[in-house]
Amino acid sequence: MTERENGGIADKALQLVLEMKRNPDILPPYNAELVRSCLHKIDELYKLNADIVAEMRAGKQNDYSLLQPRIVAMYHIRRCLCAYINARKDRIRSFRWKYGGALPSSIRNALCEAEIEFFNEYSSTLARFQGSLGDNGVNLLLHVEPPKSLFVQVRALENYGDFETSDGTLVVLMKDSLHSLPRQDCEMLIRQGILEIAN
Amino acid sequence: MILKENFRQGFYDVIKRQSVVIIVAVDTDALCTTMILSHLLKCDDVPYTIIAVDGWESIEQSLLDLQDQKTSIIMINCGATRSLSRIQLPPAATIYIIDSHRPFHIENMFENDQVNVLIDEQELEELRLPQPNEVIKDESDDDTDDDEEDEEQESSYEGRMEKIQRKAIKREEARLWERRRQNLLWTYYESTWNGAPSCVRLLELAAELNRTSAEMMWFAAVGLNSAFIDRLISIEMYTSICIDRMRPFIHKFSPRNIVNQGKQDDQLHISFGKELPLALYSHWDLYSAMMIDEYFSIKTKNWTQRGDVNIRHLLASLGITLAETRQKFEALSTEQRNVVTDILEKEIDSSFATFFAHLGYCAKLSAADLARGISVRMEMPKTKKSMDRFMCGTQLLRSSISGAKSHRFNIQQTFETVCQRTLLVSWKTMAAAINQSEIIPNGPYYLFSCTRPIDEEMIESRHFLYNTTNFMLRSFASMKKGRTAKPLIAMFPLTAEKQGWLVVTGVMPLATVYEDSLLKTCIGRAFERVKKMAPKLRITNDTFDSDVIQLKSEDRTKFIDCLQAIFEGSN
Repeated sequence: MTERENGGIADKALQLVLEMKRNPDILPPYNAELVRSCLHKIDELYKLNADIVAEMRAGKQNDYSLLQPRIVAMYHIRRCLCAYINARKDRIRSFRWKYGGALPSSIRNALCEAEIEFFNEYSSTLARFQGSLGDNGVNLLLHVEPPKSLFVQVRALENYGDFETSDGTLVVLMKDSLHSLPRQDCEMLIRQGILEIAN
Repeated sequence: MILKENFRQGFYDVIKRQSVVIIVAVDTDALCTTMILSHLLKCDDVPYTIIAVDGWESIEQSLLDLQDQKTSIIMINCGATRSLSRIQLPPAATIYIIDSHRPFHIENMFENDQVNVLIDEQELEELRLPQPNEVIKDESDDDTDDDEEDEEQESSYEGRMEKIQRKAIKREEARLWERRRQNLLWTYYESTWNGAPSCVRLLELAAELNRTSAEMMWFAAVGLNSAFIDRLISIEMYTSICIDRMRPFIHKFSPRNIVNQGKQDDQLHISFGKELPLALYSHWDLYSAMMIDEYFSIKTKNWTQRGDVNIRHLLASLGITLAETRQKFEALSTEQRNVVTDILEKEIDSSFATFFAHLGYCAKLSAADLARGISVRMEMPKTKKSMDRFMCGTQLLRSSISGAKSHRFNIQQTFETVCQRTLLVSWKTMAAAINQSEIIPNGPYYLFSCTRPIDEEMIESRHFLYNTTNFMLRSFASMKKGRTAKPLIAMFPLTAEKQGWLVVTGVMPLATVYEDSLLKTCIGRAFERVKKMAPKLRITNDTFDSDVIQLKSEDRTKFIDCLQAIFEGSN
């Protein structure tokens, strides 16, 4: 009867999911209280079931029609919790790409201990992965968006002289000349500060 | 060599095989051409390099850096008027010239196989090219001649006499030929003018490749308008290009029915229609726009003391209230605006029509205004690097086809600060020159020698110079009858770093302007002859326009005398 007064069994779990859904742009603070009450609810349901099973074993006559629905309810709550955590995880991961290794305090305050730990671990994993690529590593954060074209318009900032692109074309990089070059060829020069992406 | 037809196969298909270097003059037409060309190259994934140049010196410099290049070099709006054979060209490169300056140098057209000049076939007649064999010496003839000489050294007396006679005849022939050649070249190079803007040519090329879009047409429209507002082409020529060459694109990119337009609000579409020839009036107040406009200024003589009264009279007779003219044109209600434009249109009675870009809910933008803005941005200040100015122009052109607020703001800013100031300075210079009667008749021409320092940035801009001097001559001629037969030579002192130098330019007499739809000018030629006559004068002419030169101010009097002698000689 108590459940009916409080609304549905999984209402709180659903509330967590909705909380994420209603704030697509920001990360709401970690709702520890709701999560805890959800866990309690699972415990409570489990306990009810365990009691019934124990009574059945003891040979007492009992109404066991509620066993199955309770199990389904537990699963449902668990799923909602997982969805909540997963959504938060995705968002936290995207922060790594957006803000880099250091989180702004407004976001940091919205995270719980475990999440901060996850973030740090994710950062170091990413760094390790980047370091393992090629000889000097690649900064994946530089190219988050897929390029629209193979070519990019760049402007030479100094006299570099002849530069050969991967397809064998020879280009003379003179100070203050504009070039349209294959993207992958000139990335190195852009990082060295010889070229600059124009417009 | 001349490339006169089939630009797709002869030009584009050749250049796209390897990387391309584009050497571009810093003017609006060249910018628009480059935008179209680079778009085409981008579609084909051809790597290209753009180098912005200000004058011949920078061309030579960049060609020196390119010595090892085996690619095609395309020169836009530069390079055709002087012989490229005299510049050290990269030996393995092929050079294509798309230039609106006329006439082309003969050596570029006939002698140098490395250089290709793109010309429209219809234009060949206008150019009045001499026949190649009449101006280019056939060197193989001379060689055989010399050989014969060696062989027959031992022959008899009669034989030798005959030989000598033959040689004398030949020499005489050669001299005659040489004289004829000089005459032909003289007429060929006599005057300089500007042909159809290059961007129109490129737009047609894009159409051949089936790659036109509204954006590209807009670029071409801006380039075409810039040639007109810079007074490089006459209104007749402008209109005929709009009608003959732009028509297919107008049909394609300016949808007639409004229903269709409503559907694609955020897309660029272009319309072509009548427009008042008042500069920037839709971004200004009418009063100011009318004050600096040539037509109204001359009609009301607003540089005189009675000028203001005259303007009020005129406005009253036209039925336009002062309140309407004093407030921002944009702020007028639509009906009011239409009424006022109608009245002014009837009053001015000009055949000027231009292109408008419509984009979403932004106010329409006229190509003429934008061209003015880009010209001003690209040509001043000259102290900025040419590439910086070029990029400035690129940004402005891109802004015009994007609805972003910051971009719109950029355009507005350009109009309201630099552009309007340039127009005002232009008018003030003219007014001061006439009020203080600084324009003096000097034999066969009028001379205006500016004594006040004018804004350094503007004097070196072709846009400002041409507009101001033309305006000046017109208002000067309007003061008294019979002032239409002489050209005006104007001198402006430079300041700051170039202290001690003068910028000299000239306008052809009004009478010839009325007759000639090509706006030919022989001023540049006269300057060249002065230089030849008195080689000691310190004259530099690095720009691509031969009628804008720089002169050391101490040589001024000598220059004036020489110029007088030359004009008197040619008249």
